[in-house]
Amino acid sequence: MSVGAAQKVRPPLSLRVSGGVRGLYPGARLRLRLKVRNTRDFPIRVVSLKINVRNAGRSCRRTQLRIARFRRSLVVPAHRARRTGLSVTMLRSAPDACKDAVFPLRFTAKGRRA
Amino acid sequence: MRISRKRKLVVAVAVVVLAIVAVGVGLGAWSLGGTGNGAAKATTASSITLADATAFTSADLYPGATGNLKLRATNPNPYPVRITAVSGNGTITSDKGAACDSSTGVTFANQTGLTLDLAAGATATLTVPSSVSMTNASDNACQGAVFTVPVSLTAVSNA
Repeated sequence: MSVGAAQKVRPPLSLRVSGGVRGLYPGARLRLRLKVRNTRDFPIRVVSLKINVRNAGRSCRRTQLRIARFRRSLVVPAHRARRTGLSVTMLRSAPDACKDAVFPLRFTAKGRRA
Repeated sequence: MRISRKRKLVVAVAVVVLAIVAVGVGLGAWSLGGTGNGAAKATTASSITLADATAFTSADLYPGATGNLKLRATNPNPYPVRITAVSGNGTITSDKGAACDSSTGVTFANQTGLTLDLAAGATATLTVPSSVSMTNASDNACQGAVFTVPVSLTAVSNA
């Protein structure tokens, strides 16, 4: 006799966010280009989009970057993607250690059925 | 107390309607999540190119005088920079040959706190005022000479 076990299935993420920015330098204000993909069968309104910046290195801390808050109204149609952007600034005081540095970014999006 | 059949029906319908409304509100409030990764990359910084660093005796220098240093600099970076310091970085020579070079009598005083701006990708001639001096030790052969002053620059982003 076989015994079935109920498995907790993790639902697929509804929103997938990708993007980045290149060419930062002290005092630069550039656009962080983002692509938000909706994996569901219905449109989703993005209600929050948070960006976690990690240190580029021991001497090049994440505090050298400022990223604007997401304040837009963004609706992503079912199984489609939409592009958006946020302003990112590198402080003028960024040290030499930030030359050619890469700051890893982690995006977290929340949405509601539109 | 007896509750009429009609009243029971009304209550039952109300309960069902309330349940449907509650489920609807619950569904509507469900939040959907998502994540992703990316990167913010800084550009590299290229050195300022110095084509020329000269002091002209004909215009500025004579024994006992102090004159300007002219810098011909190029900023290869895609952003503006500000030169904040200029330091002497070697032996000063002239275009008059060994006689003058052996005793130019010319010295360069290191400069800090400068605000010499260069636009992105630009080449410009910049003046470092009152930074080159000539003493009486200057050889006669140095009359009319153009002196080359080796220097190193300190610049910062001026974006």
